[in-house]
Amino acid sequence: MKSKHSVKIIVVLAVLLFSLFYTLPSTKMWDNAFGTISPAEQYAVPQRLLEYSAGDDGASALIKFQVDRMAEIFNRVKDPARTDDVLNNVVDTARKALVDMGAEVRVFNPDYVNGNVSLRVAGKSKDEAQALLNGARLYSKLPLIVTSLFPRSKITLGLDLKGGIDLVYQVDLNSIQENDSITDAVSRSVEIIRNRIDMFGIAEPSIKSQDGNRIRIQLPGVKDPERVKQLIQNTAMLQFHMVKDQALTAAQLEPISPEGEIVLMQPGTNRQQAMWFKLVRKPEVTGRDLKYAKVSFDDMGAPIVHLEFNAEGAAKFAQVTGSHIGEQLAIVLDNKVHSAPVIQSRITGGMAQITGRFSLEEAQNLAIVLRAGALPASLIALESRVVGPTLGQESIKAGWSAGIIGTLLVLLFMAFFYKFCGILADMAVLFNTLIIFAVLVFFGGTLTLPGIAGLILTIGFAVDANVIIFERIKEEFRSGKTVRAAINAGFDRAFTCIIDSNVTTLLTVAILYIFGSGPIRGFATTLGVGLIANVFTAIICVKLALDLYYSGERARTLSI
Amino acid sequence: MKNRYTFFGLSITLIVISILLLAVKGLNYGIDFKGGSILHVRFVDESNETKIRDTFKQIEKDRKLYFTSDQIVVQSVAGGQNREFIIQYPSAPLDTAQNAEVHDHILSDLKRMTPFSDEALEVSNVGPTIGDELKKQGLQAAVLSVIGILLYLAYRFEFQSAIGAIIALVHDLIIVLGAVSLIGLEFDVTVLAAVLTLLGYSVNDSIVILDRIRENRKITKDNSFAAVIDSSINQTLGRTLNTSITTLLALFALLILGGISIKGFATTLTIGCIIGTYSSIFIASPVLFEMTGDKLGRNK
Repeated sequence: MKSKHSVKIIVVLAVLLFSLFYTLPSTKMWDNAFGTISPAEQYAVPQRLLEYSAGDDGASALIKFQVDRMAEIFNRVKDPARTDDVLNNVVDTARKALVDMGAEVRVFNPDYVNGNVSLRVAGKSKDEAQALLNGARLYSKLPLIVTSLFPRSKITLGLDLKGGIDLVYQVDLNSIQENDSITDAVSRSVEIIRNRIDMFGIAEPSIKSQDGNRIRIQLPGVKDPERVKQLIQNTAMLQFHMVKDQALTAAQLEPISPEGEIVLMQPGTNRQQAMWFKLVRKPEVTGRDLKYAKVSFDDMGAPIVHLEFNAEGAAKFAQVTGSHIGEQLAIVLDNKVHSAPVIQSRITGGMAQITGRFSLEEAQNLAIVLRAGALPASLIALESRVVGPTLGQESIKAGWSAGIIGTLLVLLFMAFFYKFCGILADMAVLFNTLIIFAVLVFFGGTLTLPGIAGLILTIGFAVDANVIIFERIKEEFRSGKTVRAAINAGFDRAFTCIIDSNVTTLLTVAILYIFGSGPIRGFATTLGVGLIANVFTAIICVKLALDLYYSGERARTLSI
Repeated sequence: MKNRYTFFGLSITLIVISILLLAVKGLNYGIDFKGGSILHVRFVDESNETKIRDTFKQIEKDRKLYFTSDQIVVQSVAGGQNREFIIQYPSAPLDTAQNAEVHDHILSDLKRMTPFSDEALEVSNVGPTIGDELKKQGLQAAVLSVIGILLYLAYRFEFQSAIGAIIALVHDLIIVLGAVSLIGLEFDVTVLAAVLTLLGYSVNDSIVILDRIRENRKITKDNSFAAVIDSSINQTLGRTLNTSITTLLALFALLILGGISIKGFATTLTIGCIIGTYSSIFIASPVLFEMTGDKLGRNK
């Protein structure tokens, strides 16, 4: 009997430790004490103040800090030419993080060496600069040896809580090239979208193909959803065609021969009317021959996209420009004429640029999509959900207060109704909640708003097993059994009932998990984990506590 | 047991009303199911439905929309000080790339004409394809759940008990859907999740009583099944009520404090919890009784 108890005690303590271990880093208390950050936030945020020097003018200071995972990010990008953009994005994120904390980042002139980034902030003393980073909870106060012991992962919040974009696209089967298979086109699309998003610098993207020809993209915490959507949707098919004729309407064009020629439009702008072009159908050079694209500025300071072709592309380009001097070459992007400059001279060296008609953001987007390559097919948006960070925050707050009040009500009711035993059941319920959190963190599950609702529902329902047991104990006790016998009989008799009822509920939860997606899955997960944890806390933990308490002298009266 | 016909009558009435409601009024499907778009926004200045409609009329003039401004549904969010609104408009009949553009234009136009105090709180567009699939999946999930529960119960209990529990469950399902239709609650994915969860919980309640009947049957000296059922229900009554109370306490907290996104979910479960408790006491075991008869040991 003694040894049986000690095994149980060890198991319960082990579960408790496990739960605390995985739950604590997610708490606010932990944040306040240690300022630890989650992997999601670690991406591209200033981590550790490395160096500080006050500016000569006294009105600004240079702070140098470390950016976490920089090496990893660079590794992933591989192409050294692209690292410029990655660095820009990283620094931009860091800058935003500092600005969010109230800093005025005055000179935006980043310097990057070995994962260390320098930025100049306005009028901060060293202490203030330090406080800025501390206040931003951007670096850990704990020594590395301690932080590495604890799981670094906080609980993952769903997009509905954290804010973000959830997109479902369908690959337009009509737009796939004839010699291309559907699965191939879909998987290449996924790869290209991933590249584009990586280059744009969004943390923890999830890009998956599903149901054959669909692509689901989940991006947490994106601040500029419209731009990101544009970045994903653009097919980015770049082609250079020779111009045969141009006119203000399609009808005014010279008659075309459908085999060798096509008619495309240049969309109008505020200053310019739409224009129609008759082009040679076969493109002279395409985006496939592109080696690199980046944004730069022309003499007027307007953004341009600078293109660099590979050897083959450069040769084609030299050939076509050499033999058509004085003619127009149309730059066609996604079947729309972007511009049609006149060829001035033979272009060798494979350099070209697309000028005019776009904002800096558009130019940046274009450079990214051109580098990442064209999508093999166009995408149709089936579903798009954007949750702003504000709504997520409010949902967390509402869920939190509902959780606290709900839990308090349930706990009070149990303590009032079942006295001492009720308080034990209360402890079991709290333990149960802790376990759910820990398991979610451990398995990388996601906490969603319905998940929080599931958690609260579980709190209301988790007492059920104990209610069944306590009612049974009461009955057995009334029928004249001793306290210990009544407790044992109560647990024994209630056991099958608890198992049966939990299995059926678990069954529906499993089906919910399989059929549901996103937030609903989060709900099914918390509910399912809660049900299993419930059997453990209600049967093993409460029984153990009762056994330990009602031994010897105290076993005369039962407080239930 | 004596009053069972009264309760059967009550339940049948409720079921008939629910089916009529579902047939005539139907469910108020949210965009998850019927497709469409939602803009949840908070304006800088106070606004109202007429103003928002006027803004959409303006947008309609400038852009080619596939719906008219009369088709939008504007809902002012309670506690949003006349600044927070949820605007719904229908989905296009087909999924096309142009539709996606239309949505983006509407949002940017709206933002330009009536500035938001924040980024849009929520912007969702669901094409018609996804909605239809979701309906099918929801139905499949419900049917699978019922079959799964039936099989498990038939394995653990005798078949009549399983049927009793399943009838109680279907009873709950129909009445809850009827209630959802009656109050015009928007039927979205979270409400569907609530309904499916309910299947589990409803049967859970019945099982506790059926389990007691199973046990009492073996030890009873009396040969009356009705007496066994009555005493089983009475013995488990404390549990049935207490668990329902704690669950309702948690649900009420969720309903009142949980915020707008979770309201439908909490409402559905609250109704379901009450109906489920009723049916497990007054429907599940009486149905078992009707099928088994009063003589004990005839079936086992």
